[in-house]
Amino acid sequence: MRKNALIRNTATAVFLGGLLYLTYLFFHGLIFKYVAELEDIGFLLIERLVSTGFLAFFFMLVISSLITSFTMMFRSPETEYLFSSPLGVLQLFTMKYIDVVILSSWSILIMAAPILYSYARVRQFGAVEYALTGILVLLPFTLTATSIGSIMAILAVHASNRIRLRTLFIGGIFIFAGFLFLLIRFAQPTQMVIPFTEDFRALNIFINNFRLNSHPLTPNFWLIQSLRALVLNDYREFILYATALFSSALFSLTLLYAVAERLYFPTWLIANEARNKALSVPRESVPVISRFLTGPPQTQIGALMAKDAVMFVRDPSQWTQMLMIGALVTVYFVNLHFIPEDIELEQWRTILSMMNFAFCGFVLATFSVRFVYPSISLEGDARWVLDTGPVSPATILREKFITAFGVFILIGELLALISGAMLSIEPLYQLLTVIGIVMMSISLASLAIGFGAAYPDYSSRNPSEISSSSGGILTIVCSFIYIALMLVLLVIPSYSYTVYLVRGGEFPLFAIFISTILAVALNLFTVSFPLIVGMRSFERREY
Amino acid sequence: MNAMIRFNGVTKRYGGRAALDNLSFEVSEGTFYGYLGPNGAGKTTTIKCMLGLTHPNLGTVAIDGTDVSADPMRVRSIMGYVPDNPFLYDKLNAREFMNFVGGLYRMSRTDIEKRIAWLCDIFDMHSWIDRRTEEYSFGMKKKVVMSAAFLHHPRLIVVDEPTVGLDPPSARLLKDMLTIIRDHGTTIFMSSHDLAVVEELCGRMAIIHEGSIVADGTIDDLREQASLEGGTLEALFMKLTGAGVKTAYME
Repeated sequence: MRKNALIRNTATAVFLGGLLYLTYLFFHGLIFKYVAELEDIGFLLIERLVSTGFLAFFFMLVISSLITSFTMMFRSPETEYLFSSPLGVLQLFTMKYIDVVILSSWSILIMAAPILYSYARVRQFGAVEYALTGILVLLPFTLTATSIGSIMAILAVHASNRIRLRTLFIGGIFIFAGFLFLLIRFAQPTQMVIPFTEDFRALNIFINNFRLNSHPLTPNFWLIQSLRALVLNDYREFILYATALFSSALFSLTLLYAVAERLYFPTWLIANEARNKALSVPRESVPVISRFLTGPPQTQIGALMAKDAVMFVRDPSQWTQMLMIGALVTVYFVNLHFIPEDIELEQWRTILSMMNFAFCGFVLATFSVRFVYPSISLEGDARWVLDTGPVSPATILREKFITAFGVFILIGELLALISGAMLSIEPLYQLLTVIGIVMMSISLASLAIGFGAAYPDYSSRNPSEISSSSGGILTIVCSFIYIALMLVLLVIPSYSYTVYLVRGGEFPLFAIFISTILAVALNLFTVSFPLIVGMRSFERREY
Repeated sequence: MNAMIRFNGVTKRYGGRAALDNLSFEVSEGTFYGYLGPNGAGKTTTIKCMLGLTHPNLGTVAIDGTDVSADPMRVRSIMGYVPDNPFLYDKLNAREFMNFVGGLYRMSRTDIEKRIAWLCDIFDMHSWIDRRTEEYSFGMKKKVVMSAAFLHHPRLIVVDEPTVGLDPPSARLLKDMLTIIRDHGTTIFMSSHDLAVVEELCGRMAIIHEGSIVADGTIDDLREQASLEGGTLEALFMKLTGAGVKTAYME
């Protein structure tokens, strides 16, 4: 078993390294290097992209740490034991907070690191500058976001002990909407709208707006300004903005510990005791969701699906993760809204279609690693019911697959159709996207379920923790590699077709044929290999 | 009488250690069979072999004539299992959990509802059956697990440490329930440390020690095998597993 774990961890590390490198190549080779060559506006545009990206990362970090804090600090079964030990409250809190920082930020930092490195390379940073970026800039940025998320989690649980959960949930939605409004406001996407004008004054105003690149009171502004200062070797300005980042991190942490010292233990105590009090309070009626399991006649798969549906709806640690994905999708749609409709260049239209396809794939991959991969592990200690019942491993995996595929198709196609309509994508590319989403849904579901069955962690009740394991990292890495390959296979015929439309010549039948064959082969492999590995592991498991 | 359970020369190794060592015994249909042994003797491994959760290195395990390794689904469809630790899906209530289990056993909705109503009466679950299992005490969870095991009219019930964690009234209720089930023709295989419960309920029993059966039969058979006429089950157990020697040494 140790040997298998070593092989798995090594494979994960290699895959992860490969993915990071590919992402770096994508941003540096395809985007930043090209954009940097644009006169006057090139670096401004890059800094604007990085700034907007890090603003989104900041909000994602806040939401991710809110969800992770909720599960680690209030739902983790070990907490009760730890409170009964000689550990002080703040010592215990610190342990939990470190877990929160690591679990909530690793995936976001994996996305951010190659982008930051690409920027550093295009700006020709040296090793010292890059080290300063990592330690003095990224660390306080992360700590500020995670502190805010943890404070929100403690206050939310504290409030839920005093007000009805329904009221809290509605309030949470309003707060979340407010968050999104702030995010969009700070990102100032209207400034990205390129004016078609011959007036140089309007153009100068547009370029000057770019220099601001974000609201000056946001951490991403300080981050990009400190990076820009490094480029200009203006260490005085670097210290100024790095100090802003550090002081905001210190302030957030101080506030967090003040809140924790006062509220963490009493809040946990009341939340814990509330479970016992519930027994004495009569319930008004059988919940509607219960009818999934007590309603119409069931097959084994029907019973499994109903159980999973009820468990998902009733587990806040699961469905609150959708907030983050919802935020991501909303920001994407808002930014799409500001892209001009009258883009005439065929190449740009093709690029937009491809990037839209990649984004849809990214959302599905995020879903797969956060919800589908942990689904087998989350059977937890109750898995004895399935293991000793007359239900085969194949039936269990089949149910997980059908559920995942159904959800992916729904979300993926909805996303593709809405974004395609907003971008006014050509019907042919839209059709390719729709077909691509079907293939991706099958493949990503298979990847997540196969690896989830091969590398289960039944001891954890925390989906974030499960998806942060080496198996989870392997799943997300393989998912991203798969999406990248699908994109390449889509780009080849699309580019050939675009060239054919623009320049004429021979219809690219061969390119389309080869791409189709390779796409089918890729999907056959991605569907079968993980499921075979997972099935074998599932059937061979011993107790 | 047909053998409901048959272990034939079963050996199971974990690394260099044999958890079961050439284990052979039979349990006739309709018997209430007690399975005793000290910690680490192989009781849990025996149960895992019966449920198909682990596969023997040597020998065969047959339930109602069916090899467990060959057709585990058929075997499980006629069995009910009550684990020592009653882990449940914490977000389901007891009614939903039993409906779920009934679905796995392909029971009709009508049958499930009738059985739940009957079990609710037996175990007095009416006031809390619609609450989530995360709110239950250990004893309540045990009742739910018992109910789920009895739900589909099993021909064989495997019970692991049934009275652990139960208060005296609940333990009495459980013992009565098992006796009623046995009287209806169900075979019961009960693994327990509670010698008093085994002595009270079981017609036949076996003592396992270091992976092998050291005694098997009625209480009188055990007395004969231990050469301990009139001895209590505790005395027999101590002698046959060598625990009595350690006590004497301590003195």
